[in-house]
Amino acid sequence: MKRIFFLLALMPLASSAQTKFAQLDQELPTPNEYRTAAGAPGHNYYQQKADYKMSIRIDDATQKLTGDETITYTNNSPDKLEYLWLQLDQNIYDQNSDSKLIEVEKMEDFKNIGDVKKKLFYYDGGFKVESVTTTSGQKMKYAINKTMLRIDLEKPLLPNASISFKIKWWYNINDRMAVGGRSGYEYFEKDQNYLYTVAQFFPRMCVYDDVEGWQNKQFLGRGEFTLPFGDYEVSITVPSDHIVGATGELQNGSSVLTAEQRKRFEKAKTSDSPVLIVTQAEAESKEKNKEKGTKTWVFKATNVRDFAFASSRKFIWDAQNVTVNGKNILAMSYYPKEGNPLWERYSTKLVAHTIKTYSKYTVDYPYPVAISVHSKWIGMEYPMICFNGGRPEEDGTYSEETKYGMWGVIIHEVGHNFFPMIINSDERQWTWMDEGLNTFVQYLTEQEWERGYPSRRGPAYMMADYMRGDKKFQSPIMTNSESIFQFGNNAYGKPATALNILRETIMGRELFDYAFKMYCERWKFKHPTPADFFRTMEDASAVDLDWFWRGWFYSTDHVDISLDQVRWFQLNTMNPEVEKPIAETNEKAKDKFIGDERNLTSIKQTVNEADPNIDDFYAKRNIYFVDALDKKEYEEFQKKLSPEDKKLLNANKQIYELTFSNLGGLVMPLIIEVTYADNTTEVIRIPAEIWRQYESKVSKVFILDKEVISFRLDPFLETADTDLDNNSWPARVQPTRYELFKQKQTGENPMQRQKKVDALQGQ
Amino acid sequence: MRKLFFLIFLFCSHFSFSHEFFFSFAEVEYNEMNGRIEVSLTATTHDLDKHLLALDKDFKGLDKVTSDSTGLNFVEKELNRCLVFAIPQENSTLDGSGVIYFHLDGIETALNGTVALYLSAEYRSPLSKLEVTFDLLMDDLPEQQNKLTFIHRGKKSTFVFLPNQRTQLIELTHP
Repeated sequence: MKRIFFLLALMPLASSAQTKFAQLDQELPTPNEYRTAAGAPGHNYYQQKADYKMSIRIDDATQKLTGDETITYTNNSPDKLEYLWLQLDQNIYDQNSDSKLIEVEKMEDFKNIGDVKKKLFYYDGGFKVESVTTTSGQKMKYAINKTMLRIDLEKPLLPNASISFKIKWWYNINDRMAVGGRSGYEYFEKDQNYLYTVAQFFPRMCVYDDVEGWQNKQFLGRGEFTLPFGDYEVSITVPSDHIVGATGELQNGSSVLTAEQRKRFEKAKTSDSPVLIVTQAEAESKEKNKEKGTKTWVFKATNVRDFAFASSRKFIWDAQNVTVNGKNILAMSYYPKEGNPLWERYSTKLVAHTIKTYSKYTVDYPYPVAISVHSKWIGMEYPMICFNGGRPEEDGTYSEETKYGMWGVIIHEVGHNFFPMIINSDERQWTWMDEGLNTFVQYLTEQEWERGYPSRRGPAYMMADYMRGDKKFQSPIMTNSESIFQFGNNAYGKPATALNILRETIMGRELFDYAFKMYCERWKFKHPTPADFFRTMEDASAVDLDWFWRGWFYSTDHVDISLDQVRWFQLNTMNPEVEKPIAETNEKAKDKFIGDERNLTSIKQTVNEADPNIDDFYAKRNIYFVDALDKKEYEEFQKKLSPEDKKLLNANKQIYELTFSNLGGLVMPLIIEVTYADNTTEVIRIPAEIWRQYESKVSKVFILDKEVISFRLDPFLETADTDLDNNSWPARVQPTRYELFKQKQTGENPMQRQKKVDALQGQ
Repeated sequence: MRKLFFLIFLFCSHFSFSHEFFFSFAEVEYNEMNGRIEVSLTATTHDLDKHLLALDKDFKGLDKVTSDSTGLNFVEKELNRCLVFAIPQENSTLDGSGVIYFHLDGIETALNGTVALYLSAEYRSPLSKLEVTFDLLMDDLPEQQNKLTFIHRGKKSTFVFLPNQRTQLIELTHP
């Protein structure tokens, strides 16, 4: 501890280029009449509309889907359009599709016969477009470029004009269990039935907007779908004993449902717990006694960006009502017996909980239904309907991990109704805008489902392992969907963590929740971009977040802030009666050289001890003696002080100078836990702007009332700091994970224990 | 031209999940005072389960293997194939004796879908370089990325392993 004469102010230790706090003007597009500088839709914001009327037929014997559609496309843009672009997503299954060609391969990938079979696996996939015609049947000129189809218009489509045209097509539905994919069929060998989860099944209009023009970036498999809103009327013809769940509301229940099913359906509409519309016994009966005819189910959906459906005679079906701000929504689930007992117990309740919770944090759920369909292994989302994994063992048991896996995937996929189905970002361009935001609200929703829910993504500390280390194989979040290293961590986990840090640490819950909800309200049923999100979050909160977006979204820096040094001072009272005894004590407390110590006894008498004439004034003077002059000077000093100054000088303030280094590059607030000598604690929060001019090293002085025994950075694990070993004073090295594991052990490893069990069983 | 010899494994296709993780992390500490290398390895349970099931159709799953010594031996053997610590010999050539064999000390599955595997090995000879291969799950999941933080004398270094960069040379500094 040192006595100081002056208070220390913030003392910059190093200067550096001011890049981390540079505003984002260079990176963000210039605001305009379509998108404002505040992050809201501009006064001339527009978006196109695409309405579909479709007839779809599934041939259960050949697993072939046939369709025809009439699309009415309305040009709300100020531009005249010479051509129209549509998406042919099924073409990703074409033998020569780019997504197959661009897969990096090497010999090591073919280490077994299964790998070779997989490579040679042939499936005649892709759209077979039979015709593109006007509504009166005249052929229209079109060209197919891989996963995109361009219709060349005879006359440009003018602003505020509409055009209708027809397309006929078919394709072989993919065996999802062999080919993979977001949709397809699963064949159940035991009862010889199919379960279809059908999506990306029709030529769909591309988005045309003020940002990309036509968003016709090829579908390579990662970057999902960018779609305009519109109204759908879809007739789906399937085997007569199938149950169909789809985007939208069923229009012809009286012709496809039995009287009993209709009665149960009506009951479900007012029930706050799931009501079975088709029971397991009824579904199992249909599995065994297949019907031969067909039925056509008709659905209508308003203001949606896509349409998907599921169909099977294996479906058990339940539903319940959930109310959001006075509006009734039907939460429903469709699942085969293989999903039970998990699905009957949880699925629909999870749908209802998700709709309610997301509505609280984003926008009120606007659609009449929300559906979860059981689909082994995958999780995939569409408006009002999603396909979710979570299958128990064949004997009906399931592990806790399976249960939480199913809960998590249902919450996540139902949550996608909000991102991107309603807040309709460009998935082909930016995966994080839907997956990241959705994973963030998923975390909030999981925590409201069960206290201490074991979420895998959300909390800051869970991202540290991914963010640490070499950056050569990391991508900034602001990377196009197709080019991302570590898709899951980058586009799901890191943005969810970033938003969690904004909410808990940077902005606080109130400011964050208001701004986040504002973004959702502004952009519901619209096409937001990253800049709209970044700008709204700042504009609605008055928090300059450019540094945060720059660090977390535009860079691959990580958080590693170290507490390098702590220096301790106390104020000098200038009172000689106080300060001189302290100085004397400090002098006596100094470490002593061993030779001096030994000389005290080995040298019996020195010359000056023997001869009194040796010591002069200097040798005899006691520098710790308080003399009259000391007292007089102190009195004069006291006269110059105000009462407040005197009080401060005598307050025994403890002054600490802490020095921090930014080792990871990502600037973050300094959250410091102070533990005092009396074992009380205090948390001090310093905003990240402390780094604004000195990005690599800063110091800060704290004037405290009590003596401190320790300082610790990031005590609540809220900044994703990748190295906690350099966070404490005095230094405190964290135990390794192995050491923590060993501390829990009983002295024998599981193998040793099992040997004992085996021995007992052998007796 | 070389002839390829195949092992017959189960035909186990790779399926895309909406929530792909494709990441595992190892924290390794070399403590020369007690002559031990201690490893904690975290991975996604269902990915590793599928990988192990493809190798042994009777494998019961990582959550059940803790009470099955045969299963533990199987997991230990496979982990030693996917996480290899080799001591480079003179002239950078390796021989069998230069590979450190890790014992599996325990497995912990977590409800959030991760599994932690704890391994350790005795190593008492002088050590200045390690050639580490960490390609767990890379043959199953093309996007798999593994990271390893190596701790020696309190100093931490993190290394990234990718399907096209499965081995890294770790040089231990002796100040």
